[in-house]
Amino acid sequence: MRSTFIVMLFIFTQLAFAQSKVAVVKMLRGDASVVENGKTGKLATEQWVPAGAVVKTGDKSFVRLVFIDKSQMNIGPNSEMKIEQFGGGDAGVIDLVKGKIRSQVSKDYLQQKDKDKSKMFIKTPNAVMGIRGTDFLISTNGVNSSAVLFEGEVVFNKVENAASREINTNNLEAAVDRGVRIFPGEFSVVEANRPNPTVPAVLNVQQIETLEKNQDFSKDRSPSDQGSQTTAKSVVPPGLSGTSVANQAGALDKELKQAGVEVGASNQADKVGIEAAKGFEQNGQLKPTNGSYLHVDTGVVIAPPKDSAYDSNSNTFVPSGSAGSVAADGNYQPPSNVTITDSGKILASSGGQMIQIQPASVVMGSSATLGDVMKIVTTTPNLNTITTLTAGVATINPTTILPPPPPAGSTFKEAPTLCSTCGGAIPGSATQLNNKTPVKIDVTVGP
Amino acid sequence: MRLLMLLGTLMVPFSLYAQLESSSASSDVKFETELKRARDFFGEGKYGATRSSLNALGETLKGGKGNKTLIGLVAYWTGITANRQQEYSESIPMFEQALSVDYKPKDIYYEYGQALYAAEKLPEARNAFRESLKRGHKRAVCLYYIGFISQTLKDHKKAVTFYRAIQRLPKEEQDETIQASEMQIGDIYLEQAEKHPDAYRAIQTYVIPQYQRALEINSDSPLASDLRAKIIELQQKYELVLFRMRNGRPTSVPPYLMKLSEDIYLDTNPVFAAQETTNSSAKQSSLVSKTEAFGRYTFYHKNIMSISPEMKFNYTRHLKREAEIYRNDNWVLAPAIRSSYEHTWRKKPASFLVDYDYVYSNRDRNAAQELKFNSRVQTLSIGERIVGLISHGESTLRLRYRDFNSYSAQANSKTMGAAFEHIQPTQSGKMFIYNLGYDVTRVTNDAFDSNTLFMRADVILPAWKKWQITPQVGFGLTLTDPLNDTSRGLEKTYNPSLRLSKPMWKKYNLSFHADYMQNDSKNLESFAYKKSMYGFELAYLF
Repeated sequence: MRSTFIVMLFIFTQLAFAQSKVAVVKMLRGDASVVENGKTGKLATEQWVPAGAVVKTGDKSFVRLVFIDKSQMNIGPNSEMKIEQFGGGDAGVIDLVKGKIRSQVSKDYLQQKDKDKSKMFIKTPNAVMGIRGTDFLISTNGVNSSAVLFEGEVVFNKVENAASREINTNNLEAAVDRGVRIFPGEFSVVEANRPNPTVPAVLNVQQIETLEKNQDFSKDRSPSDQGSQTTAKSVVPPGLSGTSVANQAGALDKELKQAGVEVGASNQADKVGIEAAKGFEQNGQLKPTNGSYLHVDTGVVIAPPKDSAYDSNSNTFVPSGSAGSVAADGNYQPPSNVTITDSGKILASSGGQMIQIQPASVVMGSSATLGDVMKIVTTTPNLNTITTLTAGVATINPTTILPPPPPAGSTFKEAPTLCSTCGGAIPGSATQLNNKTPVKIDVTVGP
Repeated sequence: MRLLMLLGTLMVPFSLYAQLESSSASSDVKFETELKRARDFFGEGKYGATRSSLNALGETLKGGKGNKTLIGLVAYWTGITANRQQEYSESIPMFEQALSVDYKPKDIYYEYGQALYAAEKLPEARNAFRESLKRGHKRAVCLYYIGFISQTLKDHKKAVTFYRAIQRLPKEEQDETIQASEMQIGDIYLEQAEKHPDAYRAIQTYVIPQYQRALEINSDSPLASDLRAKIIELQQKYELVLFRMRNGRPTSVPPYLMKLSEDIYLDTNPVFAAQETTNSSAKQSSLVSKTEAFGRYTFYHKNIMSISPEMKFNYTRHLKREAEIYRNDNWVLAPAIRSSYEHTWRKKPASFLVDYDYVYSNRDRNAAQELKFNSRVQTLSIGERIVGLISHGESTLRLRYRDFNSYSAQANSKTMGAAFEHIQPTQSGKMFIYNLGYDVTRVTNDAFDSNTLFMRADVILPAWKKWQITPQVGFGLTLTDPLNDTSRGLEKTYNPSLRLSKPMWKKYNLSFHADYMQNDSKNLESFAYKKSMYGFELAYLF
């Protein structure tokens, strides 16, 4: 009887423990705390964290949680996340209040039950992500949220109201079901002022590779370690587009085959694929240009400038160096005289004055992208020449830095006019023609 | 024993050879596996990882086990991967290494040329593109690169020669290079023309026509907007086309305006009130179709004066076919000529205006399903438009004389009037339009003589960004004093209105409009009426 009681007690304790303690701290750097039942305590390695707990990290800090299903969650610096629900057969629910999480969800966990259903949800103040993949990064500054996928698949959507954010997994599943499906190498952003998440686009190849390596946020973006800052000029000569000068992706494979190496089909986007890579905005849907940079902390998308090269192998546009670069931690690094604030404002310094850059297009095309703006910011000595003053605040409006569109239906036909430099005679008039020698230009030569 | 020793001695080299062979085969397998791994990384766009794999392979080959083809392949591949990472200082030596072992895939000079071009080694890049051209790889783009590099190096003759050579390629190869090369030729002309003593004529004769030639190749291409901007910039800089009058007032660009529109609306009480001395009201509603065509062209005499002839025609048909309704069917033909003389007033733009309007209308006035002459109106007005009279808005004062001829001689009239209009834009993007007018009308049958005071205010709000809808609301009040008909009393006409306009596609504009009109008169039988009109108008602007 006594032994039965002890066994029962042991089983009960284990069950209770299993239900409440859901993750253990396996790695910790810097300052991190846990809020449990309203009490805040320092977090330590090998400490168990129960469902309902809030984990906070400080500046340059990092926590790795390993969950009971072996899923791993790396919490980046200046982040706050709550484990709302985990274990007990239901999908896990994590609330990322601010900051970023890099997660590698256990494959065992993903293989549970219905494969079309999310096995875990991560909420941010304005978005929800259903996890059906294994390796991803999610970030929020409280205004915008962004998701980058390295492996597997996730679904991502905006949550319009507080009710949709409740723990009820049916609500969350319904929300993500209407969302966008992100595949490896792609990213999507939920912005405060747009009803839907952006259509997933391929992230800049250098950025995704660097982000993927920086699993534990160990690479710090200190001024001395800013990643590969290239200042190379674009290979695209003025007048041509990146797609027309791009070399075919299949040329290498031809060489490999000749060398006896078996290779699969080459990545060669067709015309439709290339057009899709440029991005679009139609029917309320916005797809950034493939190859855009993502400022992970704020969700600001920096689409490549007009003269970007096109890489047919990755079907992305590659911005030249002056549009910014990828920092060592994988985040977007703006040019040295540009700052992106925590709230996502873009400020450029010019002559001791800070000038705000207005949001720009995330689609390469006729209007300026942030990549175009960054290029101009780095090459224009006096930004005041391209700024407009709105309510006393100097701003750079991207629409003012590209040539204005001509009036519709312009015919360019010569109209009768006076030329101030022609001594009062109407140009082309008999008087003027008789007084001038014929004009000759010596470059009218043909091959 | 000796035999055994001899056999043993012979076996050792065989065994060593076998071991070496096995080691070599295993090394080949590893090499091929690493090549495949690098290819997988490359296919996924993981260029950093590709480079790491290729570096490892390169190290293996340095050990002397690789043949020239493999050394060349790895160097070439490293080069194109570094090109995709925009690390040209690293790709250039790789291409040179591949070329040094005579490894020359079809595109190597092209990739090498791009790396040299990006590294600003222009003469070397030009040579590389020449080699690529010889190999037939991306011939049009190679010609363009050679042309552009020559242009950059100020070798204009060579640049034009290579740009022109693109024209000789088959059309499917030319792609966008043909338009870009024509633009670059224009840029070369411009550079020379600007140094010419008679830059004005050189630009007019050579540069702009060259840009226009480029534009004609594809007027919808991304480059077309750059070309248009270049043309306009030159036209403005050299005053080739009049963009502003001498007082700074902008001209109409383009100088014409043509519009076709179809307006379908519900009229709750059709009344043909325009220029009539009496108003009859149908007191029943009908859908109305109004089709209108409008055209205007502005001629500029130097930068001093403009004359704009215009023509308007509209046809109104009531869809309810009852006599009381369709008697209001009509068509109107309204030519006009407007002129302005530009000058300044207190150093601000001002215009002296002289306008002549003619309105000829036919109407089914007998309800016989036949449109007959209804009226002919001629109006002559003179006015002055000035800026800065009130705030920074634009004000226009007009005096007008109107001669109205009706099918009924009794209704003929002459009107003298004055009108004041003020347009006031605000910093928040709103535009207020105020109108005030006074007319003195004398009719052949003096029972219909009247004096009329007219007031109206409209505001056009900034477009609602999400839907691109521009709202306009307004309110008008007309006070009519029928001098010789005391039975009518002082008549008041109220007219609030709302219009929501949205641009559709490229040149269409869709508007919803709602108007309410109420005329308060003591003569309830003939002059008092109320009506509402609301409907949609679709307009096409040429």
